[in-house]
Amino acid sequence: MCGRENPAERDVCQFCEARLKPLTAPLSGDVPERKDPDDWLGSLRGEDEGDDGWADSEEDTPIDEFDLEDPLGRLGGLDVDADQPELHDDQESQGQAAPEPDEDEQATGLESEQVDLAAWLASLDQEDGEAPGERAQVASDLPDWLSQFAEPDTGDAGDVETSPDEALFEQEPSGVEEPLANALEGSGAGWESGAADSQEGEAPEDQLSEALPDWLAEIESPTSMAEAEGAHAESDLEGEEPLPEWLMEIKEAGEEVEPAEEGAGALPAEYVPDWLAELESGAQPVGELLDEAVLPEMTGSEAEGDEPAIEIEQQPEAEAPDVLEGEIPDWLAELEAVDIEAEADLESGEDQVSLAAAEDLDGVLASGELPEWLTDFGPEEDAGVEGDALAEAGAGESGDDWLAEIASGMPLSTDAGAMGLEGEDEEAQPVLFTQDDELDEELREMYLAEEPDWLADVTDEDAGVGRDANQVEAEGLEHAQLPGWLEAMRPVGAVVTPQAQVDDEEGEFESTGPLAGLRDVLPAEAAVAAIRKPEALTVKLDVTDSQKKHIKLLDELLQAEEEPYTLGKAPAIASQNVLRILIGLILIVAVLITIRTGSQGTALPLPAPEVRDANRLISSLAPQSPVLLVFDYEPGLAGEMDVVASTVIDHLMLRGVDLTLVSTTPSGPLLGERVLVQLGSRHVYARGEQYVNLGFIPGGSAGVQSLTQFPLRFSLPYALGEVENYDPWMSNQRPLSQVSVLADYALLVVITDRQEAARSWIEQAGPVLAGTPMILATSAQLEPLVRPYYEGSPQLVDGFLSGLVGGAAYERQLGITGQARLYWDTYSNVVLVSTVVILLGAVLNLLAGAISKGQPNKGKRSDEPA
Amino acid sequence: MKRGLAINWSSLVAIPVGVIVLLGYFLGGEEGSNLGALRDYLLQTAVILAGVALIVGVVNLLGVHWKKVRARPGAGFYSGVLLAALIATFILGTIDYSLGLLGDTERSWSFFLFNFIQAPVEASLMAILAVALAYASIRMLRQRPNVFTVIFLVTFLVVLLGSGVEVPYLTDWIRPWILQVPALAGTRGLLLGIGLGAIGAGLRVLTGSDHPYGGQHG
Repeated sequence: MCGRENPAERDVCQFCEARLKPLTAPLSGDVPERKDPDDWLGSLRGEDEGDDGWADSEEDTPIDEFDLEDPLGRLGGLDVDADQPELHDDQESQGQAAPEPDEDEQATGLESEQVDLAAWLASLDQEDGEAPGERAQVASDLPDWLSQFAEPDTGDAGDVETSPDEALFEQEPSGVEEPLANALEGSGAGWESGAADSQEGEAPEDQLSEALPDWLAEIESPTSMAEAEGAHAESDLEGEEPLPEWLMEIKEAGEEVEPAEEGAGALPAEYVPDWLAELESGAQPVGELLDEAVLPEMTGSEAEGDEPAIEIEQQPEAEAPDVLEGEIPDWLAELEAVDIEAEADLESGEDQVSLAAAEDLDGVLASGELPEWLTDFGPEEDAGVEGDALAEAGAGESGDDWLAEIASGMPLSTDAGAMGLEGEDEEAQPVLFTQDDELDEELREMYLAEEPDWLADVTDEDAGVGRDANQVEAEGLEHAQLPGWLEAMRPVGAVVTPQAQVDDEEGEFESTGPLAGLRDVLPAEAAVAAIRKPEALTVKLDVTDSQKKHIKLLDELLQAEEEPYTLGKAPAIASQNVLRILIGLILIVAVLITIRTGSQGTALPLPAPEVRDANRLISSLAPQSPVLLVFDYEPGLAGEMDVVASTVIDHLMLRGVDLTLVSTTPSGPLLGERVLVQLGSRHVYARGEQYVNLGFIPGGSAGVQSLTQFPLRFSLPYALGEVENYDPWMSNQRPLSQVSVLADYALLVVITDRQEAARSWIEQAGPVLAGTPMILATSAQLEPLVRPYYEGSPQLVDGFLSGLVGGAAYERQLGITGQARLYWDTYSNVVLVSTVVILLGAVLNLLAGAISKGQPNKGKRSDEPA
Repeated sequence: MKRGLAINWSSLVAIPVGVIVLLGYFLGGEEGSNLGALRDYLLQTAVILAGVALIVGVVNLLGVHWKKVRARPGAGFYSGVLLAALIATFILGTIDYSLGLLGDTERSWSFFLFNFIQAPVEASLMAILAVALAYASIRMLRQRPNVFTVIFLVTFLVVLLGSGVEVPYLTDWIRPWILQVPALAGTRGLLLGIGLGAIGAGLRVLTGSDHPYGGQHG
């Protein structure tokens, strides 16, 4: 995961401990090994998709022949897959085109082939002067069948009709498989014109840009393919885009030897192997095929508008064999000594070669005309050979270190595309001969759709993973740079220090899941298995002796709070009730004793000035003078108020005045009626004659105000007890005959025990009386309230008497014996007794309280009475 | 909840009426004054409405206690007594009115109920109050044995004793001085406070700040 180079023999990355080789056993038989030890990204994806995904994709493949073991073809797809739909057959069947499990091996194989190519190019470089003759010899040495293929058949080029998709792929510069396949089939179709035809319609790069998936476009962009396309866009090799150095060197060398012959897209003959030049001379399709396959990245001359991609100089065939034999590279010579077993492998069907191509090959092999170098493409090579070994082998065969250097400088992806055609891998060859009509469009689309962009990027950068770290370092190559997003996906172990990695060697490899092969990942299964009931933790506190004492004290307090409060047994009679009863009994006894004795010996109090003024006003009334008598007290105070009222009314009756009774309380008319009835026994006062009871005045103060503003007949339209004469004012009763308004009365007497009633009459009626005196007979409790009006100036109250004391004083002033006299002795005795009881009781309670404070509280609440 | 610009019809009626009645005291004193007549009309209407309110109160009292009796038959005993007394008094009063016995103290059922039930009961309650006040006076020094309690108790005893018993200097000098000086001073202060409070309450009603007649702020 770290991206660093590791020795090939390591199964685990020495830096990040990432798994370099899959844990799963290699697939048996001919199934390619998908998990490359160094292809960590491929392993990730493989784990992600699961083995079943691969199996499913393979199972879903409708055509078995597409399931080719074609690692080289897949590698070729790194660069030219989109250009060569034939190469995608097995990839489409597998549902992916990105690095496959044996991609690393192929990559290493590509390196070796790249070295071979370098050697071959070197030979071209060295033999540039002799190239034409040698190529002629090579052409002469070509087998008949290959020469037959090389027969130029350009006349059919324009007749070839292809589907849009096919045309798209045919337009690809390196799409040589189809022409080759067509040639093998003997169709004679213009294999070289296929590209030309495809180029006629529209620019190939435009079509490719539209048809190719993004990932493939990204693959192409950094590779020489983009350079080639760019060069084509500029219509010649003299394009302004810089070519790789090695390519520039080659180009310069080629120009020195032989100037550009035909157009910018023409390939210099120096860059064509001699043997290939021979082939081109005799069988142009094959030569052009190989040129397009091998040289696109080098020359960038393919797919140039309407012009033929490659124009190979025709060389005399007679000169070719001699030159070829003498100048053929060693590796090419070794290819010629290939084992005949390649034929058997081809026929075994393992390569999934198309039937037409197989038949042609069988015919060719049967004729024994297959060149040995071509048989080297056969399946005798071990597909599982490590890339390093291949690279070394390739380098060893060439025997030139500089070739390795050149190869190292070559764009690997470009080499991969090229090596896909020239590679020695047996799996590449069948793909080359896959017929175009066998392509499954759906699988192709699937292949194009399933290839993610990220994998394309990774594949491009991952090309050097399979190399030996020492080799990479020796070549001075830069280490692969992981993309940022991929860097973030790296496990933590990949970024820890080496020392930490060494210390953490005991970590286990993850065997399942997408993180398989990684060390020290979070073991999900182990964590799940480890879930169990937590151990019961005991809490043992170190409690000191002091703390224990405090705990004990707190516990005692809490327990004491929980204990029920022990109440003392309630006595049958509470002390407070006893005291109340005792006080009541004392007062009752005092009253009873006084009543029993009938004593009236207690002197009446002296009349106060207000009492004397009241007596004077009443005494000044003339007989039959209208007097308004207001009864505004409640029956509860009737014991006191009746005495006061009877004293004043008795005096009024004595004066023979006419009385008009009103009240602002509902019970007032009855109370007044009762007093008049009680006094009527001593006076001749009949209702309707000497007095009239006008009843209740509703509205409180408003009623009093209304009474002062309106004529009385409007405010008091009704009279108590007047049934026959409904309207008392119409009956011409004497008390009402002299009055119309309130001021017409000679005297206003207000008998009340309520503060509000006294204030209402004083404040509301007083200002409108217009000289009519007003006296008040109140309860003892209103004396302080009435006195200010009496003592004030102007004097709103002309006189008043309050309570039993006032009544008794008024009787004393009047000189009569009334109810006050009857009650006065009893009242005096009860007042005296009450005063004594209260005084004694207060002193005793004060002492008891002082004693109780000095003693501790024994279970008694503070609010409990003594 | 309705707030804000909702019209308070009670204030819309009370404030103008209050202003008219108030102005009628200052400007409607003349004979035949329209303002005075309007004030008198409003006052007479208020008196009538007060009488109606009394009837409404009685009906409301009847309904409340009737609900109590129906909801809690066991606990609504006293409500039942109240309802029975109310209904009996109304029936007897109606009989007295129909027979022309309202003013006849000897045959009237209403007068009988008042004279022999209501008046003695209320007087008895006042007698119990006397005993309770005596007991409270006794306990006062134990509950709050301080100087003010002693002053209060001594003043109470002096006025009480001086009102019923002829005690030299106490009846002639001490008791009158207490009633006419400190008690009168306190009462006058109380009356002044009542007057200021009445003015404030009236202004609050007139300005709509207070709604003693009900409403949102009432």
